Amino acid sequence: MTKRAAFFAATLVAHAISGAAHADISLAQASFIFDGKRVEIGPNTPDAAKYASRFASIPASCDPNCIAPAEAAVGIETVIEPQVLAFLADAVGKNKWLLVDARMPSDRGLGFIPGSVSLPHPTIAEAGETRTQILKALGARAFDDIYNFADAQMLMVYDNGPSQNDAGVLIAHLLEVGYPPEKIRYYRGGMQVWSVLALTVQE
Amino acid sequence: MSNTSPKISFNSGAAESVRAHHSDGTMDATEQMEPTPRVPVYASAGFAPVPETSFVQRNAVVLAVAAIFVLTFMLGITTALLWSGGTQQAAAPEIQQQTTQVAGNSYADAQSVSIAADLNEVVSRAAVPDLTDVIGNTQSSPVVADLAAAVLEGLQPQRTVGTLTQDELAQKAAEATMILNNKLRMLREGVLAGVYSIDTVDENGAKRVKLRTINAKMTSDTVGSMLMQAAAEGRIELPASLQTADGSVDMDTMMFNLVQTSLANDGTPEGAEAAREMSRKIFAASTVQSKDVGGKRVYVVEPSDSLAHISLQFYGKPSAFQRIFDANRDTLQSPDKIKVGQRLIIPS
Repeated sequence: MTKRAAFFAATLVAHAISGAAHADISLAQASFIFDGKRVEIGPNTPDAAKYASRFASIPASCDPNCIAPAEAAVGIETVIEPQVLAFLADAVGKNKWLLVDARMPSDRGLGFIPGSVSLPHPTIAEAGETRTQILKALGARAFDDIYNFADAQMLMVYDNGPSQNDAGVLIAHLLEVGYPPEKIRYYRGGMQVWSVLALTVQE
Repeated sequence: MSNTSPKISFNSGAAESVRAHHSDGTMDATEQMEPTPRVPVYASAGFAPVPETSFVQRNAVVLAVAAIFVLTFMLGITTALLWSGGTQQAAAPEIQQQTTQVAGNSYADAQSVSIAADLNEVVSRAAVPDLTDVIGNTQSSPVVADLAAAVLEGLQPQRTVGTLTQDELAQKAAEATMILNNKLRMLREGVLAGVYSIDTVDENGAKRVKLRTINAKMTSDTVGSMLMQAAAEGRIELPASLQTADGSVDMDTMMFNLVQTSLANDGTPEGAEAAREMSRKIFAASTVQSKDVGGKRVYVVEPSDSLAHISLQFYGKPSAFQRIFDANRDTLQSPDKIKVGQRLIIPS
């Protein structure tokens, strides 16, 4: 038994070491096709400072000076920029996932992540024809007022950033109607972190 | 005679009193002020209306203040009603200010109502679902309704097929065509200038006729793949005569054909002469062998042969394949159906 335990411990240590060795630095770029058009995301966007100050100056949407939680909800994985980039190139470019902008059109008009779709959180806030149509567009099957999400798309949700909780509200709405949490990711950095990293912003 | 003046004063007093009776409520300032000096006259005549008029007179200030209060109160109520009705007017802030001066409570109400209206517009009030709402609110706010169509369209992006967009594919095709045209032009110019050679090369056991120019290196590998790609995408159609016996496409002969055809068709005597000269050179360089069977020339098809290549070797030009095809109609259904080992009659 002790032998086995020792082996197990050794394996764990080996895993930890190899895991550390594999933490590569990601390239700040992605190239993929979205909606029939080539999308190129790169670093060092020339007008990054403009966007960074623009998204920083958007007032917090919740109580004054609020900060979005680390997790949008229980069971929702929070992701960081390399995951967003990899996800855009590997999943969005291959029709698997959608990068979802939870903000209202007025905020989205200030700039958005290329390759993302607009899904303002109020559109699915209330039961009705609009919500049903949107959920169907996301791949859900509807029967009366019951939804089945077996075929539903994977969604990565973002908003202005940590000073806004539009993404959290949208995720809450999705969970309310029964969207499986394992099919949702939360990009907390949003436009604020995205623009500070000088990644490409589309307007 | 002495009664004259009191009579007159009496009459005028009566007239005055009748007027006062009729215009009781709507009496204006001048009318109110006029009777004042004549009060003693009424009094001396012992007339009844005198105390009534004096009551209004005495309480004029109080009544006016009360009237102003009533009006202001009604204005406040009307404002509050208008706002709670959801019909916000452009002049709302002004009304709000007036209301503040008169009734503090009414302002607070109006403000809370207006905040509620704003929230309703943003539709964040359903963040917590109304569990008591069994029927379900099917009437969504106008903002959401306006958004719905655009959002729905955006949620269904075009599916991505392959690794290139349609624009990129078109661009690549245009680039390939440009390279091909450029190569062909150089090749053609080389042939026109006479700086080329035609050799018979042994390729995988089969003899092939090859065109070489000094100014353009042209192999079936460089251009062939482009042409095959173009043919696969349906942008060009490869002639059946270029189909080889082993199932591939005869790119060497294709290039011969392209150069020779472009020379022959350019309309200049130099071009036509260069095309003829090309044929003579190929004809002379050809090492292809045939058998004499009963006075007819018979050729046995080899794996890499196409009908156009056979034509090139026997007649010096790929375009003469039709002669061979016509002579072998009984054994050959179509120019691309030649088989290895098949015997073809070559008309001379």
